[in-house]
Amino acid sequence: MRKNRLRAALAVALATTLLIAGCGQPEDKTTGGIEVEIKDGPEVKVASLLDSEGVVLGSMIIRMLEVNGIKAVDKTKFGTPDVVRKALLAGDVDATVDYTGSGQYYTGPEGDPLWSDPAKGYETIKEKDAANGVAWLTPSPANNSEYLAVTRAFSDANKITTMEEFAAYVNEGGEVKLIGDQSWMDNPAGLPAYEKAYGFTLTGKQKIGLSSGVTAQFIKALVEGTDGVNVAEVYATDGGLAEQGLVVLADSKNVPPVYAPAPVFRQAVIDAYPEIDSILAPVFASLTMEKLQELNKRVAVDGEAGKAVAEEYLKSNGFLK
Amino acid sequence: MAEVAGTLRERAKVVAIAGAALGVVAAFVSHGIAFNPNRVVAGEPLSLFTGLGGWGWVLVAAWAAAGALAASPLSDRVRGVAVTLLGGAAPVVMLWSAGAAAQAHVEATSSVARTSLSAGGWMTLFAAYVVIFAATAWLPPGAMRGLLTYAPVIATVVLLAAGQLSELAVVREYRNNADTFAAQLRLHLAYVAGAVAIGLVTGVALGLLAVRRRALEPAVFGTLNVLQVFPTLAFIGLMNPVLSGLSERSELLADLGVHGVGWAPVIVVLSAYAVYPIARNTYTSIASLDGAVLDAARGMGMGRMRMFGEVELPLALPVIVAGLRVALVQTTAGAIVAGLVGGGGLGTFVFLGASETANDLILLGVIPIVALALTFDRGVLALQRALQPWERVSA
Repeated sequence: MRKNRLRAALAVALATTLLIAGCGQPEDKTTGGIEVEIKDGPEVKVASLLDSEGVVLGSMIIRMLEVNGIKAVDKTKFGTPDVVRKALLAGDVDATVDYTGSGQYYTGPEGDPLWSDPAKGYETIKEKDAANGVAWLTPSPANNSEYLAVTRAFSDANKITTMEEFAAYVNEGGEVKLIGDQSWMDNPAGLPAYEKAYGFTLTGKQKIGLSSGVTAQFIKALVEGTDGVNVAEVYATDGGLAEQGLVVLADSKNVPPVYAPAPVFRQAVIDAYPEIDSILAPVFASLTMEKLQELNKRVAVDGEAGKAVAEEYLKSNGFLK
Repeated sequence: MAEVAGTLRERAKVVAIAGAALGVVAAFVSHGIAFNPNRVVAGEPLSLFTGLGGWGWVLVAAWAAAGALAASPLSDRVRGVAVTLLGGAAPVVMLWSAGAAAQAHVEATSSVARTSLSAGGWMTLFAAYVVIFAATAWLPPGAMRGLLTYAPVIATVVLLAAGQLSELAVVREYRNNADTFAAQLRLHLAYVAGAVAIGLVTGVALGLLAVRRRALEPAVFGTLNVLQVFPTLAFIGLMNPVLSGLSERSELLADLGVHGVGWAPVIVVLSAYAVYPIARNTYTSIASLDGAVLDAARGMGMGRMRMFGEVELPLALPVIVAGLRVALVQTTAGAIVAGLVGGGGLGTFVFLGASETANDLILLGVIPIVALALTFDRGVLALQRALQPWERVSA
């Protein structure tokens, strides 16, 4: 009897081992059939945030480095923004995709109007972060900043398509439940800047703030009307807003800070491979807001793999042969 | 002994009938299967019965037959075989027909359409687990019982391999992540193995320390209790400056990759959680050994070391292993947090899925975690039984 049980235990252990071993597969280290000479130098660990855009842009950086003979390690989907930033500063990862407007949280001055100017914002963070040994490379012209969105039905029923109309609706006592990121609601350059610019104020009861929330969650709550939500914070480059029947409220006063996605590297890596900026600049320069929206939609909504979408974009735009 | 076995069999009957009833309920629950226009927009949810067409009838019939046979006065052997087979067939029918429905949905609409199983689908799997678990009590142990029990698992693997399920949303998520899935799974297992190994050594040592030096017992368990109730993320957050500081001061640690984020805080925190159940069980099992047994051992002239090695440890081992079982299952689920702090593992899928509100990507991380936890639970239970031949450990 005892032997039988021991045998059963061993069988389970063996089966588990085989299962785990069976899951292994040879490492795929191809460069997509392109013969390149691997340059001498350190490996570059490329991280990204845990979202569709991070995966797509991170994968583009990795592919462009690889075809130029620079060894890259895929660390995309690395973690939350603070974790990625800490890892970059500590040298756990060598590169990531970051947004110029986020610079206000890294080096300050937080909430300053300079972040709403694309060129000034980029120059400021580039200059200040150099002291941390971090290099901000050429950003994309896209601006991934925060806007307010409502459903098509709400927009039609209340005749709201602009922030001015929305402010009037709020001031007339219209029913509002806004969902968004808590830090955006607290930051003077976030929701309060909109309130100031257009002259309205939302009460605590009219807001649902999530800590480390992401726009996909806000959009879902808006589309499904969860807890009476009828307005949501969205990012300009979120994919599939139109497909999900959403209207982004027009911001004629350019209130929010500019969040242009840029490749961000440790300076030590740029010193080892000074050509990286010129490799990535044309790719990022080509990424307009419309293109990013389309790429993000293909990943988040249509469910294509982020890596494949990145590869296909690079090929069809002539960055890869 | 015969009486105990008799009531066990009676109980199995009630459980099997309840499981089959749950299966029927699962088929009619309003959220059984959802045909969505794309990955994030939810479509109209249907019950399995309506969503699976004619196969809905087959599913309900299988559950009804399983319940009726469980209640019938047939011999244990016949009942056991028939009910186990029916309980296993029902989820396989559901998966097979859901796979076919998913293919039809894609062909009828567009390639971005997704078909997801929802509450009713998962309830069906749980009902099958309950029915099979109960019905196998009527069968004698052996290869035949094992085969019958795991037949639905084997059938599911065959369905997956044959591509029958490839249009189901969670399988689509797997295909998108096939290049990293195996690596993340291995990483997850490495976290579990590493943390539990550290927890085992530390836990047994602390448990023994508390037994031998009773004065230290409140201090040991007081500390472990505090660690145990610390929220995981807060714990990792607290470790960040500590580990960053260490790696800045020590070249060796930095070279090993010990930093404030990544694998190091994950291992530290998971090990700290794993210590408690093992230390507690070690302490309790040895502290509560019958004094007469120890007296007898002493009377036989055994020294301290021999007494520990030949009497205390063998008697306490099954209980320590029970603690190991708790630690393993708990760590398997806990390791998910690595995905948030740059440590990778199956949590990556869970958190990326949460950020994209893609429930099926979340499931791609959760399903293997549940499967691993169940496997570890069963595996260590078998080990526990092997170590304790003098009595049958109840599950």
